[in-house]
Amino acid sequence: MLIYTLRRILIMIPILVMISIVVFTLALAMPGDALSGQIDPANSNPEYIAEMRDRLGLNDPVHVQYARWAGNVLQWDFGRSYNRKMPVTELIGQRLPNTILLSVMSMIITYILAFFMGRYAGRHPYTIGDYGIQGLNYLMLAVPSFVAAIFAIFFFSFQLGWFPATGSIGSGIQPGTMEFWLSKLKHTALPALVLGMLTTASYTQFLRNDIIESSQKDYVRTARAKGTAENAIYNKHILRNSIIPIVTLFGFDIASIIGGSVIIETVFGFPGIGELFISSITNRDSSVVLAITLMLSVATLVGNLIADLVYGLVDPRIRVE
Amino acid sequence: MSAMDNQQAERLEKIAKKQSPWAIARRKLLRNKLAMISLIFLVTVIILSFLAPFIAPFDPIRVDPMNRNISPGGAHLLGTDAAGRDVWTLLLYGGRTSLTIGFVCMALVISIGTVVGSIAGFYGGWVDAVLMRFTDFVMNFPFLVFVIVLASIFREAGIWALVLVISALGWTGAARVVRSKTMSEKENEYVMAAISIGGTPFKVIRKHLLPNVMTTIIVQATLLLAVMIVAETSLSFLGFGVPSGTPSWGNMMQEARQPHVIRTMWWIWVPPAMAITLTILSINFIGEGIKDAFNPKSAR
Repeated sequence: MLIYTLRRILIMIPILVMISIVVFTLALAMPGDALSGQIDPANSNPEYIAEMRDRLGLNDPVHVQYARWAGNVLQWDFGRSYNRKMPVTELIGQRLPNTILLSVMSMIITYILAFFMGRYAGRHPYTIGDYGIQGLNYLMLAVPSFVAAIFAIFFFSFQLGWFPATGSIGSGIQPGTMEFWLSKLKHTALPALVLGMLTTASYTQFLRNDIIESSQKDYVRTARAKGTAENAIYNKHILRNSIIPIVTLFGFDIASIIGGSVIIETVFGFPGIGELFISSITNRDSSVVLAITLMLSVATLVGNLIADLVYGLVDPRIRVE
Repeated sequence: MSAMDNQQAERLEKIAKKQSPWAIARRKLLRNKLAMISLIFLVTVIILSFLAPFIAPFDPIRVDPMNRNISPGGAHLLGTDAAGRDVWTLLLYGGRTSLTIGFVCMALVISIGTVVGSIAGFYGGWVDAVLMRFTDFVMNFPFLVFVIVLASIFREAGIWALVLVISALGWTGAARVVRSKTMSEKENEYVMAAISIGGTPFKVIRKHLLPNVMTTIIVQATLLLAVMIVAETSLSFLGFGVPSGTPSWGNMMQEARQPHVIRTMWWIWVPPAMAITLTILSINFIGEGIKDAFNPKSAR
């Protein structure tokens, strides 16, 4: 397992380099360039602009520019944001905790909902409750996340008034207090629920089918024959076996949450990485776009790696190859 | 004597009909009520959308400042939006745009996926290794993030650039599925027989492998159609999809980015939201139905 893990991590390095090249090329092709963030906007003298362009190395060959950028990135320097006049790392540092909170909360909601719905539907298949849960699953799979988000805002924020519609914190609340955290959780709950919807549907379906399949197996028949109570059979014997395959899906969640958070954060005006990404693209803030694209690609890569590693842990056949 | 012959002929005919997997699948699908209702719904949506120029009561582009934000009823069946455009008209024209993009993207994605997947699966060895490493590489890019970046680069190029961008990043899943199916199908004797009598790789893939991988491709294509429609509407909603002057379901939803529209003017965003959701739902049901129909283990 150790050798397999090391090999998988080593393979990641050339992929990372290639991804960084692709991302850098795209950033060069984007409208607007890094220059606009570095110079005095009041000074429009062409000589000054040409001089700054030269001094910042924007006239160098592309590979030299790439090497300089990659060198800076390795030293954790992503340049400065043009619109917000601050280092990109600082800007992302402000937003990242919000996105992490959103993702973690959405995963927790997903696991809890999927666990209870999947367990119920698996234990009582082909009953009204099961059909209800299945119908809900089909709906959750079909509704695009932005449509679900708008319906959620309409019902839960405007009609019922349970949750705030936008932002990540109430106004005028001091950071660090209990009230601050409660307000934060309240603001995050609704986007997290919508974000977790798609995964909830697939997990529920997965757990349900696995429980139904397991309940036909010999070890369950043995347990029944020995007179074990139905509750104990489902909660101890079957559930333990059915939970394991779900754990392996965790890595893929990271990729789906990244795509989802871009949409969800924009709809809810939630100040996280996804919202920053969209507003930076709109404002042509290329250094921020470059940093976030790279970051999200690395996160996806790590997610896929985790998925493979966990899979190898659960199913030893994968490790041979 | 002749009556018996007739009977026997009839029975033989029945058996012959039963033996075609396509006939079995078609019968199973026709008996699947949910899939049939979905199919009728989807066909209706498609026909209405493509007849938009003939049945839409208003001009989808013309801005009418006198009739802004009218609630449903009267001349405007579903009301008007913030620019005074008729929502029902926009819904019809928007469906045409969204469905066209969905179908074209699906066709491109499934074609790329089939070509890459069947070549990798058939040849194996280094061809497979190169193609699959490339597929894995493309898979590592977060789909939505890269589509948005590319769409912002090619913004001036319009709808077709959008279609190409979505397709260029969306084919990886299909390629993997087609490859694994081709690999298992390749082990059968008929493929070896076809190769041993001198069939060229192209001919073996096209005439022998593809017809047997076709069921997988059809199921995959149905599910991809739903994914592609979601991709287009999401991108348009975020402002990186179809140019804002062109009606599309995603562009119609864009107005719901303002909280006061969500709160008070439900007629602007509920119709496209329902259209998108019901279309995706019906496509998913059809996809499930087709999958079920091709599955020899399913009882129906």
